[in-house]
Amino acid sequence: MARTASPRGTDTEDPAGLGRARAAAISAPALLIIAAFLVFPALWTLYLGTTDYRLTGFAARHPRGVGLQNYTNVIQDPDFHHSLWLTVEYVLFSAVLGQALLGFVIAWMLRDTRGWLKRLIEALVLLAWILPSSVVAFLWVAMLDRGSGTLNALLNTPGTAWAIEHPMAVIVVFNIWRGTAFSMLLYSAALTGVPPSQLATARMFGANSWQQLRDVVFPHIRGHILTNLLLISLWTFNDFTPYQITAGGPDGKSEILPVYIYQTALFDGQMGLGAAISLLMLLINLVVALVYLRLLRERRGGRKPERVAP
Amino acid sequence: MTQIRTADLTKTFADAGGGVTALDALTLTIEDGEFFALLGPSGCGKTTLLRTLAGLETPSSGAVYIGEADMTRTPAGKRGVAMVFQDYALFPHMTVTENIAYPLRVRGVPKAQQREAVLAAAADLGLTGTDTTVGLLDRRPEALSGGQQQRVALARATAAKPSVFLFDEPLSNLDARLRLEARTFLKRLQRELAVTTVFVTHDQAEALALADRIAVMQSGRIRQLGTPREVYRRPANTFVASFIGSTPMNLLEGVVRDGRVLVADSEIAPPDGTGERLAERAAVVLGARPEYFRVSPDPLDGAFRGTVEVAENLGSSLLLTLDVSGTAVQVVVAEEDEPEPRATVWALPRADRTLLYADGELVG
Repeated sequence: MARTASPRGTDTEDPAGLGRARAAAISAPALLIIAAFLVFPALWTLYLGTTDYRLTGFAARHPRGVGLQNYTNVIQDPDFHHSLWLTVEYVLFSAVLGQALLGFVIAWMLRDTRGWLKRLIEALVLLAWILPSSVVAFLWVAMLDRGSGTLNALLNTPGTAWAIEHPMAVIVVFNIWRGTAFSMLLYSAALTGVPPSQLATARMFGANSWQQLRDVVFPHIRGHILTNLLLISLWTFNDFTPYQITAGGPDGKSEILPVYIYQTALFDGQMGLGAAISLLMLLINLVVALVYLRLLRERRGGRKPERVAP
Repeated sequence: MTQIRTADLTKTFADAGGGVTALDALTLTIEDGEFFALLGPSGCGKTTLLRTLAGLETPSSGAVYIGEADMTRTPAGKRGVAMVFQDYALFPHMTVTENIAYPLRVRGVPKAQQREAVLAAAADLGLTGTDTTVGLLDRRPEALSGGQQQRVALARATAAKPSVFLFDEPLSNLDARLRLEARTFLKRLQRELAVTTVFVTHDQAEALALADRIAVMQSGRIRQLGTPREVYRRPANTFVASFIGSTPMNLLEGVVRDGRVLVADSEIAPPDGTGERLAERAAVVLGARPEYFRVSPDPLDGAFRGTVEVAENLGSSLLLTLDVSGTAVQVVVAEEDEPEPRATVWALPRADRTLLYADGELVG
């Protein structure tokens, strides 16, 4: 009488023992929500990119298909080139150079620190990261304010409008301040995996700090560095928070791509064009991700050992 | 000529509970060319002492002299000291050649000279190929066995041409069979290089087998300093007595009366040479190694009379645990003398090998 195997299939095919119909019924609500809020908008954006759909006016009621017109327009648009270039600068300076470098330096300096100092620095850095972006944006607006800003009071430079005179520098510094915590935490965790005996060995042979980093630390945490760079590059590339500080201005001087799309699609109302730019941005993200993943895989493939019996 | 000397070396680690003293005013001289063991249970301060000699720890007070120079504040890389760690600490992303060349590369030695030194060091340690074996120089550490990894680590240390070698638990990462082989190899290597060598171990057999002299440590102090023979034959206190020896020494509490030692309801002859100067003492501890007993099924004068409780086979011999009026006494007998279980036997300790302790210290 006792039947050990499930009547609907083997245990490996159906570990929960639910059967196909019930399993589908259980996961259906989640799939529906994903379809409604993720898959459909993505496909809809793809479709919109081939139309002249606008928020208002005649084209809002009766959008016409325009084929690849939007894409050719965007690619020839100097504003798009300008915006793309600003985004590359923003990612390079604030994420790759700023967050990753500063995060590593802090993690490296704190590696042997214990107790209240480490906890204090970690808490301060993390605070910047966990506060909602609207809150930190307001804090920065208040700090940079021309009339009664904290920065002008500290530097004794009354009347300097930082966000207007140096908009890119402001958002770069802002993003470094904001995102360094993530890199620091990731590198801190990675550094605990570096065998102390290898560092001590390098030290005993007279390796200086740079040689210890180059010969022991970096080879060990290379995967962590690449993963971190991938994540922060993509996050920074898609970051919309600068809009809350400079609104892309003045005169488009800090109009990075997400802001440019927002201005095009929702401010100017050219939804079709905005959708086309969105797709281009997605493609750029994909290329960036593929490059990093390729680098990661190269390392694993390159280190494959020939197993030899002792 | 590289002698190592420490003077009142103290190291205290800050801790929540006030601090832990790892080294307690330790003064020690290690002679030129000596193979020196720091032996003790975990937490005795032996590793801290080794790391302080290496320059990886800074002492709280006291001084370290290597050769003639005071090196107490000299950074690790400038002491002319090479250390081999328990896990060998080979760089996993470098080949064997690159690993061995590392100390030279750091010093900026020209490539051709590096190559020469690597080949010499590798040949010394049997890492280059012969007619029948394959060379290991182009492999990465992960493709090597534990014993091979150790030899690469040793080759790297010798390539640095240090005046002192420091080994941290050099054999504990090897499996039992390989350990004996590596032990012989290590001793021969040290003899050939004749470089002052200090190593740390928790295994008394390793220390006895390898070292010219042993410092037995406990709680940051040296409890006994001597040759393996001295430390084994005449442990200076009950701590060393219980620590040295693969079968632990019998330490039996008793009293001295009329020139005899009364222990476990038996009257035992005192250790040789103590005879007349043996004062009446209220409490003593008689120390006798299980190996130094004569065991007989017939009554012996001045022996322990006990029943065999447990017999453990040690290969060529047997370790018997005897019940002597409620006290456990362990003795070793040859394989052909195995008694019946629960048999009554007489065990006579060799008077030239028994020891007497009072207040934990050796008195005779």
